[in-house]
Formats: sequence, C-alpha cells, structure tokens
Amino acid sequence: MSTRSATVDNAGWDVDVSNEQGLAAARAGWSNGGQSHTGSIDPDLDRLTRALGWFSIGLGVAQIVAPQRMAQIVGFAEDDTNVPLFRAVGVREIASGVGILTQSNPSSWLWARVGGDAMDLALLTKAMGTDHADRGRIAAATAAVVGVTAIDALAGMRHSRDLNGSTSLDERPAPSEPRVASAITVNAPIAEVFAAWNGFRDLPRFMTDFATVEVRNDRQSHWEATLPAGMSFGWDVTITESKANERIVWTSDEGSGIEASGEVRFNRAPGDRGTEIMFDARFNPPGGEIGNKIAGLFSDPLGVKVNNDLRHAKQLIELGEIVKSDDTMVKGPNPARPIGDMRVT
Amino acid sequence: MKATCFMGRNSVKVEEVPDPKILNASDVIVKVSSTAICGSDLHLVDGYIPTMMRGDILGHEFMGEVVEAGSKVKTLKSGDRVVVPFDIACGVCGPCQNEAYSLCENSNPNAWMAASMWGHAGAGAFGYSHLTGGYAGGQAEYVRVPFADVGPLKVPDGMTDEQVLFLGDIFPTGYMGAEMCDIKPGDVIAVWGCGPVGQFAIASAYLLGAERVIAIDRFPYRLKMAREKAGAETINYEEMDVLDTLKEMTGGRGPDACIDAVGMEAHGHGPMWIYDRAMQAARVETDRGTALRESIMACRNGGTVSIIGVYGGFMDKFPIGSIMNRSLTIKSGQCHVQRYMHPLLERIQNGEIDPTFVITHTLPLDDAPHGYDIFKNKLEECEKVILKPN
Ligand SMILES: NC(=O)c1ccc[n+]([C@@H]2O[C@H](COP(=O)([O-])OP(=O)(O)OC[C@H]3O[C@@H](n4cnc5c(N)ncnc54)[C@H](O)[C@@H]3O)[C@@H](O)[C@H]2O)c1
Ligand SMILES: [Zn+2]
Ligand SMILES: [Zn+2]
Repeated sequence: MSTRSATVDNAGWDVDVSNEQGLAAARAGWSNGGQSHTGSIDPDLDRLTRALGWFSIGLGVAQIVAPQRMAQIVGFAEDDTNVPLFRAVGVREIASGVGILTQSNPSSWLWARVGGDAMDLALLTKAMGTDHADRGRIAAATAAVVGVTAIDALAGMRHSRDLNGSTSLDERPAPSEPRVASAITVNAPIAEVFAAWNGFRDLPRFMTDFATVEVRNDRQSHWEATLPAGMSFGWDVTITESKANERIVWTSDEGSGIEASGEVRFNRAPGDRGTEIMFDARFNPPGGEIGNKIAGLFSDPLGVKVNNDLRHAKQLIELGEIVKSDDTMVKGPNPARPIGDMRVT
Repeated sequence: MKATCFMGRNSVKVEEVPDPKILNASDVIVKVSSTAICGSDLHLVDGYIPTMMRGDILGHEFMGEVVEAGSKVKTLKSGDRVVVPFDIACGVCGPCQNEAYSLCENSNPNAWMAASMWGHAGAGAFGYSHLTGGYAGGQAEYVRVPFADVGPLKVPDGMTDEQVLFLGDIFPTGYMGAEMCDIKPGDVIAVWGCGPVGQFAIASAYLLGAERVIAIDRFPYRLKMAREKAGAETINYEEMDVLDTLKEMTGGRGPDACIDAVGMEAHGHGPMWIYDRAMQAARVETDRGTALRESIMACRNGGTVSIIGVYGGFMDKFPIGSIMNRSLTIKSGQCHVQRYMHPLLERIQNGEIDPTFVITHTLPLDDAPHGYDIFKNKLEECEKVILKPN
C-alpha cells in the first residue's frame, strides 16, 4: 500500500494527536484571546473562516453524540460497530473547529480542516469503493464534503496569502501530482509474474476494482476508472517500454481525456519470498491546483482499489482463481450468509 | 437451512437462510454435526469488533460431514467426516508455507478493511466479522469451507465429535499460547482466564513441561475446573491481590511466562477498570486492558507474555515501560490452527489429554440464543456450549 494511504490508515492515531493539539491551541487561543486578527484580513473571509470553525464543531459534536445517526445519514451500515470510526472523526473535527475559532492565525487550522476533509473523503470513498454501504447516500455525503473541501482549500489559500503579505502560491509547498501507488509480494518466480502482466493480456481478469481495462493489442489498452460519487474517467494507454522481468512503462495518449503515466516494476523479493510488484501511476487532472488538491484526495482510496487488484493478481497467479466470500458475492451491503438464488454480480 | 445469526448488539437469532453453494473450485460444503460457542463470538455479539452486519452467520468452531466437493478438491470426498480450523488458509502463499496460517495473504477478500484498521491484514475466518472476509459461519446446518485440501482434518473412525471438535480452535489456541512461552524445566506459568481457552492453555503448559501452572479468574466453578481437571493452582482475583499473591507464590520472581486468555472484555476492579469501561463504552478505546496490563506487570524480569485473548484495536494506558525496562518478550496471534491439528490429534489418541472435560452444555442449534446467554453471563455454571444442528 502506498505511503499516502498509510496516513489515512493511521487515522486513529492522528486523531489523538490533533485532539491534544486542539486543546493546546484552544488554551493558547484563550490566553491571548484579546489579540485581534491583522487588519489586512477582509471581513468576508473572516466570516467564512468562523463559519467553517462552527461547521467543524457542529459536525464533530454530531459525530460524537450521535455517531450511529451520522453513520446512517452518510449511508454506512447501521450497526454500531462502526461507531468508533465516527467518534474518532468527530474528535478530530472539533479539534480543528476549536483551532480555527481560537487561533490568531487560523490558516494552519484551515489546512487541518482540509486534511480532515481528506480523511472523511477517504473513509467515504473506501466505503463506496467496496459497495459495503448505501452508494446513493454516500455519494451525496461525498458531494457535500467535496463542497466543503473546496471552500476549505480556498479559505486556507487566501489566509496564507494574506498573512504572508504575498499573492504568490509558490511559497507553500506545491501539492504534488496525485499519485496512485501500491505494492504486493507474490510467491512465484519473477518470469511467471511478469508474464501475467506482459501485454496486459490478463489485466481485465484482475483489474476490476481500480479500473476496467479493455485490451486493444499488445501495446494499447483503454482504462476506465470509477471515482466515488459515480464519476468516472477514462484514458488510452500505450506501453512505451517493456523490459522482460523488470518493468512495463506506460503513458496516456495525447487527447485521451486525462494525462496519466505510470509503470509496473518487478523485483525479485529478498530471500525466497518470490516477486515484488510495484504499481505506480500519476494523474494530472484538469482544473489546476484545486483540481490537483481534490484529485489528491482520491488517490488514497484509489490506492486501496489498486491494492485490491494487486491482491486479485496474486490470487490468480498463486491459486489460479480469485477467492470469494459470501460478502463479495453481491455488490452493495450484504451480510455474511449464502446469497441463495440472488443474481450474482 | 437454519443458522445462528448476529442481529445487532447483544442479539442472536436462529433464522432460516439459503443453503451455501460451492463458490471456488477448492471448496467443500460440510453438513455440520457439532458446533460450539467461543469466547470470540462474545466479542462479536457484544459489538466490540467493528464491521459486523445484521444477518451475519456466526460460528467458527464446527465439524461435520462433507456433502459436496469442488472440482479441484483432491483429498476429500462426500461422506468424509472432518473438523474445520477457524482460520481460512490457502496453503500456498508465503505465510502458509511457513505454517503461519492465520496470516494467509489470500484468504481474506476484505483485506483492505483489516489493513486500514491494523496496518496489514490477517487471514480470513469463518463467521468473524467482515474484517476477516465476510464468510458465513458454522453455527448452522451447512457451511461452505474454502481450501478444503489445506484446512479440514479427517476424523479417524471411532472418535466422537466431542473428542475432536476442539481441534478446530480452542485446543490448538491454548496449546499455541503455552508453546509461545518457550517453557523450560522448572518454569512457572500463570494463565489469566479460566474459560475454555484458559483451560486448554493450562493443560498444554503441563503437556509442554511446566513445573507449576497458576490460573486466575473470579468464577469459583471455573477455578474449580482449572484445579480439578486441568491441574492448576488458582487465584480468585476478587479475593486476593493478584500481583502480591503471584510474587508470594514464586519467591518474589514472578511467573516465568504469563498467558492472557481473557482478551478485550476483561473484567476488573478499581479506577482503571471504571476508566476502561467508560472508554470502551464510548468506543474511544476498543480493548479493555485489565488482564493484559496485569499479566505484563506480573511477569518476571526477562520473561514472556503470551497473548491469545483476542484484542480488536486500541488500548489505553498500555504499560510499555514495564516491557521495555524489564526485557519482556511479547508473543501473540490468532492461532495457526492447521499447524497443530495433527500433533494434537495424536495426543488425544495417546490418551495424554481428553478435551471433553470443558463441555458443560449440549443444546440443539435452535437454542443457540440461550447458549449465548448462559455462556456470556456465566449462568448454570456454563463453561463450554456445544450446539447440535440435527
Ligand atoms: N488467539 C486465538 O486464536 C483465539 C482463539 C479462540 C479464542 N480466543 C480468545 O480467547 C479468549 C478467551 O476465550 P474463552 O472462550 O475462554 O472465553 P470466556 O469468556 O469463556 O473466558 C474468559 C475468562 O476470563 C475471565 N476474566 C475476565 N477478566 C479477567 C481478569 N481481569 N483476570 C482474570 N480472568 C479474567 C472471565 O471470568 C472468563 O472466565 C477470548 O478473548 C477469545 O476471543 C483467541
Ligand atoms: Zn474461537
Ligand atoms: Zn495462504
């Protein structure tokens, strides 16, 4: 799994930290509470900022006090085993809300909100991607959070600019091109693993979560990835380099909707551990920086999808078939019990 | 068919559900003759393991007769009588080849879910939440068993269900708990929890050469079983201070190894206990640490703490300083059941142990909700419930 998804995976720990920081920030805010914002901040922006602060606190309180209800609203399965997740998100939400309202320079807390949105989006899209919950509702919730994210990103940028006394965006670290990456180890010789990828012939068999792949010939294929909220984007791929048992490099064709490039690398795993596959792709969505930022939010859940497909590839190579459970037999939320005569999807 | 289903927190029902089918070529369908309720099922039903869904079929300790086999199954055929390990393992991935079956990399189709909670995913398991794959469990009339050539153990003629049923979970689990203690001559082993898993940990510690085993619980009838059937000395933690008593019993050294056979719903006393209850009830921590913390504090310098009680996520106030400053070793895991089935079957056949000693109740499958009630609430001196579907 990519390092980026690792950040989201460790959300439980992040929450504790931000909570502590939130309280510390709250205390700091209160102790110099008399200090006012610098005059350069326009009142509209200030109002927007405060609204976001209260939005955070309201959302956080709802997530802590009524996590089940919140889970239902956004379409997760209703069992209260999902409650810890929502409480954790709630604690983080309040921390950033308090931070925004009490900091004399709320800019860093606005960025924390962007981070928070990213975490929510990651959770939502993870739930979406695997059809465990009500897609419609999750899609709606995602749209709402994406909306908030855009405002957050905007407010965050404008604040940084105001306080820097500069209009240049270059002074912040530029958000990198969204990357989707994942790795897996297959207990098989490198030649066998490479063969399963070469010419993309077997790809449609295991690339099912991240994208549907239509193979045109040995070098060309068309990929179609589905984003949360029902969006999808496709691109034509040409293999530009294929080195036996080492790497397959590809790039999107000119004018194929989205600029993308990537490679699949193969390494002999140390010891007798078989072969490591590394899937590494970059996407350059339209829409400039905000486009990048929002697309960046999707790269974690997409990374999870790629990882699922790498697992499928591993199963096909090691076992000859993809492992099924009662859970995976039907799309959408369904309990661990035989599906009977229901249509298999 | 009839199956025991999770219907929400603290709610279990026997429902009519569709019969299972072969889904992969290496599957068999087993007609269940005996199945049991495990302490792990309590964690699921009490709502402490995330990703349970209303309608999930419970149960991971079961055995029965093969009634259908997939096209790739080589070693089993209809009519074979088998005990099935609770963990699902493919037999060919790296961990499986190293006999670390509960770490199988291929058997959990929901690996992404487990990885988002634990960093990496473990194997699939029957009837054990969607984190471990979303497989229907075995407290039912029929169950689908994947990787039939890897897991199931054929039962030798002449052995009863009761003699072999626990080879699918609690006997290997208790045994692995003892094996992780790396027992040397003269070693004193302490076991927290006198549930069925604790009883097998005690018995196994003796099988592996422990000098003395000290068992800790609060229910007199369970302590009595530990003394009379498994041969332990016992401490009732409601009557005595565990840490002081263990020091007195071991010349001040502390036990050479400690086994936690309690898990995430440990009970306790004092402010820490109230704190844990509150944190867990609010779902801020998933795991109550009373037993684990105590087993760490009790262990002698340089000793081993072996954790077989199940933990789900995060625990507060974990005494890492005691571990680090006193060179403790922590070992843990879901049991690699397949590794132990044959050797432990031999021990049963040799008469070294009779696993039936833990059974206190045998009920029809229809009475599963009652079985859960008496096992969870320690009513009717319940130690282990077996359910009979037919
Ligand atoms: N690692 C594995 O593969 C595996 C397999 C099976 C079961 N388990 C786990 O083993 C644990 C025990 O299972 P079981 O079937 O025996 O369950 P159980 O509920 O019957 O037994 C738990 C026992 O611990 C006692 N206990 C509670 N708090 C205690 C404390 N502070 N100190 C000492 N004792 C305390 C209880 O009174 C009870 O007797 C569970 O957590 C279960 O999930 C693990
Ligand atoms: Zn069990
Ligand atoms: Zn395996």
